[in-house]
Amino acid sequence: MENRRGRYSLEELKLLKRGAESQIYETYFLGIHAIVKKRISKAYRDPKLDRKINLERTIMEAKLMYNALKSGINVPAILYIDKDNFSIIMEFIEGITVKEVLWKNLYDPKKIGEMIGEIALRLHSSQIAHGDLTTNNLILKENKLFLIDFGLSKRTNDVEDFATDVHVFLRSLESVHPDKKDEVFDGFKLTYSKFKLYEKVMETLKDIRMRGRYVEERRSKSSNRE
Amino acid sequence: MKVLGIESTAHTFGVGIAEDKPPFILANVRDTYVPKSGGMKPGDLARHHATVAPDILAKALEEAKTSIEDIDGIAVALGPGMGPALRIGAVVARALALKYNKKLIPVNHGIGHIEIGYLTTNAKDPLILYLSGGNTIITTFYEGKFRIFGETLDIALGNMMDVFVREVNLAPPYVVNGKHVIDICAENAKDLIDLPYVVKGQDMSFSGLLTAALRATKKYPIPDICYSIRENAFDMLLEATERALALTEKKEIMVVGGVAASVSLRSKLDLLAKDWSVEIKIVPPQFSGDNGAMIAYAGLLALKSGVTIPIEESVVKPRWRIDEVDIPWRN
Repeated sequence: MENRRGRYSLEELKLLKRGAESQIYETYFLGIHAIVKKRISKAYRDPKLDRKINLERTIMEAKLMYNALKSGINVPAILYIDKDNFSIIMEFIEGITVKEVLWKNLYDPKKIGEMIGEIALRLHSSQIAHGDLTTNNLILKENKLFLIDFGLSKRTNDVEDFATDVHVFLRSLESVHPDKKDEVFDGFKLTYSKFKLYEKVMETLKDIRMRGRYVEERRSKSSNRE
Repeated sequence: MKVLGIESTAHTFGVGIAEDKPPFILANVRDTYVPKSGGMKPGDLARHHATVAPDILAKALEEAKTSIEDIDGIAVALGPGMGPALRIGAVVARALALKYNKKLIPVNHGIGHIEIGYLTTNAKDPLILYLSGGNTIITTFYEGKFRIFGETLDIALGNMMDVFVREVNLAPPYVVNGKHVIDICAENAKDLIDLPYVVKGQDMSFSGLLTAALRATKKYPIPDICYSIRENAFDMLLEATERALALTEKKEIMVVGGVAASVSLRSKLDLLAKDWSVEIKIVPPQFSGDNGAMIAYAGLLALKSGVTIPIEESVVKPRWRIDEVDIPWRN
């Protein structure tokens, strides 16, 4: 109650989490349990580039979260946008990340995969690529999965962007949950395969992994034995 | 135990000798091919390596005050790299192993960079930035292998900056008095111009940045472009690094590979480190570029874990990824 900041009232900001590009604070906004996602200026960035990146991403993030919500994906409700401070105030989701869920064996990996596939299906069907679809950006709350952090999202119709989402997701499984990768990804494909561009996405996924030195396949094709 | 290591994956032919007790590195001799103009032609590279090999080998043994008979194994970087260059190193290594009846040890070039990093920086459990001309990789060791958290989806950061300065006739040479010419050029910049900034999760893409920067030369002063391309490229890398830090919660960042020598990258990393309360550990300059000592040292670790290869199986692997290599010595 004692803290009144700017034009909106926040009650006691408490730093909850340090993200890669933002600080997440816990607070109450007009009585609603909320978080403030505030993009941080980076000391290492040129100020002009810094401002451009932070402003563009704040606006884009809010827009795309709203679009995702409209297409039936659980996302935190947006309560306020303060673009001068690169801040979005949104509903607090009380749950745990899928990363922890998998680490602590709290849920069936295949089922989690199916739920994530469902989210990707809805997202891509509404022409949104998330841009950072990792197990760290999915929160489980009362058996419902919430997608957070739309900081790298974009509106797109490009199969390449959808395939990149799948690639980033697969990469997060490979690097953080190598033991559960297959189960989760099998579940993912089960639901995501309803996407009308599924075949093309999977083909492009293969391309991406070959192109950028993800070359298990490429090696056997080309001049390995020299 | 002593291992002699041969590096010949790209422009450098190097021979190093490592021992399993301090000071660990007994010799590190190399010769780097510099084309008079343009890029490197693989054939010219191979000719250079074949020409300098006997001399470099002799100098390394002399520097280590040892004879080939006292060496326990011959390590060689079998990849990744340019085929014709790799083959010279492989031929020399096979010949030595055969003639002197030594164990042959296959070493992945990237693992060489990483292991010499551990040795010289004393990093314990770092997030690793492996940045060389041909590689832009964010990795960390986990359960027997180096796992890749992020990398370039197309060209490497170092290569991209080299190509840019070459195309605008600022290079070669690429490094003058220890500074990359893109940094020297950027010192005269007046303004940041708008160039693509592409981070996908923890991965990066630099080819669009290069294309746009080359196109921008028609409209903007070269120093402004040098500055802007460097800022965008490094900031993309640092953002991807921050994402990997958030995911892994590591407290050290170790930087290895040729680009580790960049002064402008170093100052950006220092700012990032302060912000995240992590330590930055950068491989010293004599071991940052390609060198034989890193192959010898990684080979030594491999040999102690029983990793050797029969000569007839020692084919070169131009596209050998670091995450395909089992690392038995780190468990």
